[in-house]
Amino acid sequence: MKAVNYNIKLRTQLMVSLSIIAIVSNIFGGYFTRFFIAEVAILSIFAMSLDFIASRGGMVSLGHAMFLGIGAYATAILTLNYGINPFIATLYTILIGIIIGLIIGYFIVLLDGIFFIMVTLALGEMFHAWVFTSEFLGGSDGISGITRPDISFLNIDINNPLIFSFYVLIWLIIIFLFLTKFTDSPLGRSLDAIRQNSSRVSSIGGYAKIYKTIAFSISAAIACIAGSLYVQLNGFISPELTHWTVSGEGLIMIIVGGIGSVSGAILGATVVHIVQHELSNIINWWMLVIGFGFILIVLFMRDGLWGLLENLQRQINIREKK
Amino acid sequence: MSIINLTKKIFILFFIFVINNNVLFAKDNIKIGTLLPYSGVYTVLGEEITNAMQLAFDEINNSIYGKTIEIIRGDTEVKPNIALQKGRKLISSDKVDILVGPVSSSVALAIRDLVVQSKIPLIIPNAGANILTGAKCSKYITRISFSNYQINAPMGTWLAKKQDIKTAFLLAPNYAAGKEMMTAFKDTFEAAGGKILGEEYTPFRKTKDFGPYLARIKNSGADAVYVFYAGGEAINFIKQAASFDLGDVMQLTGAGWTTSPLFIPAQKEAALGFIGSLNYVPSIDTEANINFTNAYRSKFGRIPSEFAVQGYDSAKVIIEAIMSLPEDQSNNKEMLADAIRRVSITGPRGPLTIDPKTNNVIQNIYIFEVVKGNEGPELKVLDTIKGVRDPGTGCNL
Amino acid sequence: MFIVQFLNALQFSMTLFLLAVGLTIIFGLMKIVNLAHGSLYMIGAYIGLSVWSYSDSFWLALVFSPVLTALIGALLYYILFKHIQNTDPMRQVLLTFGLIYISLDSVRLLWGTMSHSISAPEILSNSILIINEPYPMYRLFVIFIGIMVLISLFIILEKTKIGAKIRASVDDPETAQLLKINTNKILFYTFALGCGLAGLAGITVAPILGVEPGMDMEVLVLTLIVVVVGGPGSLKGALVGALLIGFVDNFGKVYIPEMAQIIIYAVMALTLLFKPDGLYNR
Repeated sequence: MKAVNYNIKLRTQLMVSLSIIAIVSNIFGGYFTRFFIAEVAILSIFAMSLDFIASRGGMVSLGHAMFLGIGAYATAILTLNYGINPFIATLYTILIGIIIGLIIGYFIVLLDGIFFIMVTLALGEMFHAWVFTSEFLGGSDGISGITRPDISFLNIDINNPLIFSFYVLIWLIIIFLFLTKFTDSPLGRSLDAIRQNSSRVSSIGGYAKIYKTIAFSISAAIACIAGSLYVQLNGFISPELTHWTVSGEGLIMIIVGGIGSVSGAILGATVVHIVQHELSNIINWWMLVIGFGFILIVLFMRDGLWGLLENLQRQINIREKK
Repeated sequence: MSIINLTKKIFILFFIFVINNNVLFAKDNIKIGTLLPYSGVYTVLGEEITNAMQLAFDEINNSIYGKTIEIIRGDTEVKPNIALQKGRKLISSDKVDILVGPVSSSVALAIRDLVVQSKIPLIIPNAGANILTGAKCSKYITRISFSNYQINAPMGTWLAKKQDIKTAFLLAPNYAAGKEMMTAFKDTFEAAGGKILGEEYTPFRKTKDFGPYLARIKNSGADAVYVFYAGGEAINFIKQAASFDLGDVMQLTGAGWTTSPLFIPAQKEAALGFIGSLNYVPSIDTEANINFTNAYRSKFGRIPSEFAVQGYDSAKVIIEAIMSLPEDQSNNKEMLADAIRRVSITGPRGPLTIDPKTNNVIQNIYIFEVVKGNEGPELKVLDTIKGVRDPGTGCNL
Repeated sequence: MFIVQFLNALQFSMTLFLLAVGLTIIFGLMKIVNLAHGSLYMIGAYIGLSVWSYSDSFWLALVFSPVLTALIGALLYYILFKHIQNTDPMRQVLLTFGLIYISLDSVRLLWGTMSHSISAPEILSNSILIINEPYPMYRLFVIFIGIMVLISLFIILEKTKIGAKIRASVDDPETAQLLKINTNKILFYTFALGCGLAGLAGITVAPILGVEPGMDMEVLVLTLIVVVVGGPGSLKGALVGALLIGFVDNFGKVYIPEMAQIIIYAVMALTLLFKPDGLYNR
């Protein structure tokens, strides 16, 4: 798919800008805005997980909502049934994500891109169907009553939306740093080489599969984190979170934001979620608008908003050189 | 490009967003927030309920105590997390006085804690999960529609008492509501001496072809098949059952939505002979219903469905509740919540009161049969079971 | 009862075949999966609904639906796909994904959100006795249509000149172009054909399964599974895949209903494990 982007300066600038906006809005916004920021941050984490395998392995997944679900339900079960601290539960979901990611990845990472989309879509639907009818997971009604990690020893109340938003933002920044460090590392660059020469390398077999499976499992783990935070945000999880439309939204977010730059995914998530919210308040046919916008971007803005920013940067650079 | 420039560019978007979602000045209206589906598969239900609510408010010129009644819509898209988002917006940004919604029980369960924590009165105009007026009941939550138990339990007793129905086969979609409905029927049916020969649950909203199930049911030898379906599944089931001549070997029965007035135009003659139970049928012969049906038909061009009635009654309850309070307290949420539960009205459905033990409605349940009418099949009342209430297990109000 | 269940399974398989064959043809030729295939199926059903409502003739609807859906497919190809047909196939797939959103809301705007139904024509509305078991005639008609499509496609592909050109374009596009076969035109016609077949599936099945928004995604996943299992690009694969999935699903619902939903995915998983290119690969 799109190349991994090493325009580090712009990437950092974008991230810092977004962070400033998030922090300022969080402090000065109201109850609703704070919840919204937390939600956008969680979706950004999800988007980053999708962006990672898309740019790193040419793997476009339409079933990643499954990992959101796994992270969310695992957190619910661990905290409610086993009394585990929600923060520790989130850490557990990383492990669960890696393991399940490795297992599933083993079967599907070498599939051709188009095939990969079809299979992930089907797998996502299977998971959704299972979760929907599982009595243990609350069936169609889901599970409620999940609490957030108790940090009262710091004299802060995490149930205050301001505080929880900051908590989620911290996770976001940690994951961002992890992904960018990983991208720039030798392991990351190997993965990128493999992606670029995928067809040649897969005939050699072995290493491509290992690297891609690792990438897939990391992506799964990150999506699980998003799911875990999500269930702590709303105190509630139901099968709707694992519906294909959630995976689809994720895909829209990374295409709109632009694949390959990590911060592009965050920008995409922010823009798409805001637009969706605002549109649905005005019209019923917002899916039509988003579909159109998406197609226009696929046709004319190959690198999404990130690409737009890069072009702007380039033009500024040219002007400055003169 | 510096960080500051970039920040400025992106911030504009966010600024507009923040402004848009935080009310700067509040008018002194009576604000009713609706958390209903206005997009997605249940859109028609959301629209029915809202239209009927507006009809009721129009009847009093849209004002009480000189204050305008304003309906602010929140599209849940039948997604619990979106519903929560819209709920927060309605409560904290739009500062509504009363919430009305939702249609689906899974959404209701998602917003329940938010409503109770925000101490805002919620009127449920549809969602039927028993637990909402059971273990999860609250003084802020009043349900004027039905509980899954209420609609199905009376049928169990009624059918068993009919001479020719001793055995039944159950069929419903595989999700919480489907199971609750069948359980309610099964309990009373077996208590009255009936026997369940089998029960099957079909993949929810993924089953279009009932072929395999219909063959099994036909072969079971049961006197009756008891089902619950709504929407496209209801249309398909009834039509396909007719195509397999199921009605020739057993009595088709079920929860009344299966042959709701919304679906009969599509089902046509296939629905004839179905016996169902519902909290409303258009043919109820009372002045209140005739007036309502005429008003609804002249405004919207079709007869009202049970969903419309629930919306209408929600609005009537709100009006009664507000008018029962002194004028200066009409925005007081605590008093509103209390007033809502004390309301007693006679609506198109018949008499409605709220059970103080559960905050669920006490209402008539109508057993009907689909018969040939002047303009196509219609629901004819066979029996009226009065004052049905929900046991409300686990509720401590 | 077995006869009834067998026929049910066969009818369901034929429905899946009608859907899968359009998708697999497009994949075989364009190397992309048209995620909007379910949407075209839905549009075909809705077009049929309108034609039937206005003309009161099911047969008219049966004829118009596939034709109009094919035209819509042709239009989409010309407006959208033509420009990017030589680029990254992934982009085209993304395009089809965007189309899902557009068609869903378009259908809602044009036809409303209520569920509709089409009545089968009079002569097909009754049941016919098959070994003493009454079986709905219309379902037999669905089987008939499926077989007709199979035979027609087989004849076209194997026995006609244009069929040979199509097969050439799939197997070896470069040589085909050298032989002055206009591969772009072939792509265009084939895409339209695939869309038309989706529309045909929609109207054929409408009297049984109804017409409502959301019907697009329900079939998409099933169709994808059939194509993955059968082997993308293979006509034989579409048939065998459809039969396999259709029978497994139907009899699964009869004998092990609790596992009914998971069982098809299990078949797909097994296929991926042992034959990742599908049962009949190209």
